[in-house]
Amino acid sequence: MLKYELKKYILKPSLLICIIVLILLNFVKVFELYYYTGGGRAVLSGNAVQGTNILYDKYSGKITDEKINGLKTELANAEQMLKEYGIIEEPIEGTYCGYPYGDVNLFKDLISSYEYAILYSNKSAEITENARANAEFYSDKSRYEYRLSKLYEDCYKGRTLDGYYQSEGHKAIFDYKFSALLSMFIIVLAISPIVSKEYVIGYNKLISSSGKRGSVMLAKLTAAAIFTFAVTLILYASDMVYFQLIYGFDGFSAPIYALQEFEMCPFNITLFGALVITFVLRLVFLLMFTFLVTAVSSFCKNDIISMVVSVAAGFLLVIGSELLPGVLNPTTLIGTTELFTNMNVCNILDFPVLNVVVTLSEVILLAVVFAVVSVRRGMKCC
Amino acid sequence: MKLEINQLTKSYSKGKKALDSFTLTLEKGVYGILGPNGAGKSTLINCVTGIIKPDSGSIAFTDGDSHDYMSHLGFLPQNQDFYPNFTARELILYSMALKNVKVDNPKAYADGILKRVNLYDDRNKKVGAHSGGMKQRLGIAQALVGEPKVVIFDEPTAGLDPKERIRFRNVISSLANDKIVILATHIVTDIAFIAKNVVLIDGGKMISCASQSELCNEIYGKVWEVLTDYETGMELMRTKRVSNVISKDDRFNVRVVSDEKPHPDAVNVQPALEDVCIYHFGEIGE
Repeated sequence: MLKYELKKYILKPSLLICIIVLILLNFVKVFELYYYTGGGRAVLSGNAVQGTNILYDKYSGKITDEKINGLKTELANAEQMLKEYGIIEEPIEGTYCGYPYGDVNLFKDLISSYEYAILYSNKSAEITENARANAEFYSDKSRYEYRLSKLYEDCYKGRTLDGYYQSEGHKAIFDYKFSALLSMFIIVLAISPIVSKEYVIGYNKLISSSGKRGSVMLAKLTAAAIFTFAVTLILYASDMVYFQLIYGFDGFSAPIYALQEFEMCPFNITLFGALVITFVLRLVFLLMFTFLVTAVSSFCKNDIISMVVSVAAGFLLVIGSELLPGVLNPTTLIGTTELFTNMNVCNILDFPVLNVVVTLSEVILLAVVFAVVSVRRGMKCC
Repeated sequence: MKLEINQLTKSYSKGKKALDSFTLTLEKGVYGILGPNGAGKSTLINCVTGIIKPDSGSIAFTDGDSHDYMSHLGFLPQNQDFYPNFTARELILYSMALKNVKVDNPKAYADGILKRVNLYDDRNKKVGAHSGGMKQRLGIAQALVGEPKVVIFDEPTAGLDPKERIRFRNVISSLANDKIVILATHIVTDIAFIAKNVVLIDGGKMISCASQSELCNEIYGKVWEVLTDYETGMELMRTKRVSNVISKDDRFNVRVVSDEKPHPDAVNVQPALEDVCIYHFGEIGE
């Protein structure tokens, strides 16, 4: 039954072409993002970018005494060149980015990142110690504060870093939402006719008379979920490829707090793990949206109306969610920078619960409700 | 084999009874259901096919030890369309999945069904490229999946050209030997050609169920023809139930269904099924 449901409305050449076009559009958007917000390298010439990348490659990864000494020496040399040449307009040989001033800044950035990595274990110990002290203080005063302090202690205890990794791409991809928006658009195109079109072509009566309404509706939901998984995966993979090509990122096996932006990350995960979590949260959100569209489709007897209402529902979901408190805003699942930046918790029955857990539970609950509504309504009509 | 519809009643929200204690027993053969618009034909079919639940009454099927007619039901709804990106064979395979038909070689089974309606050569053609007649034959084909004991066709020849209509009639006739075939249509001639029995329905109630000849005999002596001028012809059309008017030179041959002689020059003629419809419903199909 499932393969027929996939074939009916989803596996269509027109939809495939649409997906390809949107994947290309996604590339344009990533490039645009890089151009406007990609930092210094975005405005450098091709040779300068290449030189800068050589520098990053040289000093990224595990921090060693050799690298530290090399960095110190190169900084001294760059400062010497800066004294000699001053601020110049034309690039010169013997520099990484073409300009002594730029090289000095790059080395200072790298040294700052090295310092962060080397000193991170101290910071971690400091946070842990503070959390332990707080836990002691609150042990007989506030159960919630006590538990929160313990959470901090457990979370940040024993963290150390021994490497430096290029972070620009990771941070950008965690916060990149455009491809999720494209996924929503594709989902509306493919899924909005999934029940309503049965009315249009009159197959609802044949499905009803077969006595397999339940199986057909379950197959429809499964087909919609599979499609959503595939679309989310394809677009997320395209994000990864584009960000890798344009920004470049490495250190997948490094802990996420290896990036300075995520020093307070509440999860002890690797950067690859963070990318997987980002994908999973996006998938859950999009599955919820998919089931919303199937519910809309099951109420409409015309596929055009179903599409229009689904688009409106998508807008309402995205725009209306902004009016909700952050913890109840489902769209927070499609941009994870905030999630990985700070430990955001809420008090539930004196237990500190991560905001993302609350949001995730809410979205899963909504997905289940929409799925049940789709099946029940579809069972009446199909 | 017997399908017993017993005291079936169905009302809609405004309180109007679409079916009112409708009772009918069907055996092997083709049954034509005739009735004016709003007579309850569609509601009856929707109840029998399980699309809607009746408010009361029951439908019982008996074929030896088998009593489950839903698993032996073939159905072609009115204005049926199909998924344009499916091939004819895929559509039959989908119908097999819907009806839970399990065979060793599904493709061969599907091809066999398509052969019966002359669509085998087009089995790999996308349904979107099929003509109206081919789609209607495909509709019949999907209804035959699973060798149903009860087959229901709702307005099956609407929109078909004369050649396709004849082809359709032939297919239906070939099914009649071992099945209960129910044909609901406005097109009286279709029923006249292929239905063994005719069920007349109006106001949600069964008016009559009998063979065509019996129904015609019921109104024997009540069908008249008169050759008259234009004014008299118009007068008869205004005041009597007229089943046909044929222009002959400057005069008109008017066929009237009436208990009394409608005109001094009128002569009795053999009733036809169209006259039966006019007699009972005051209107006629195509």
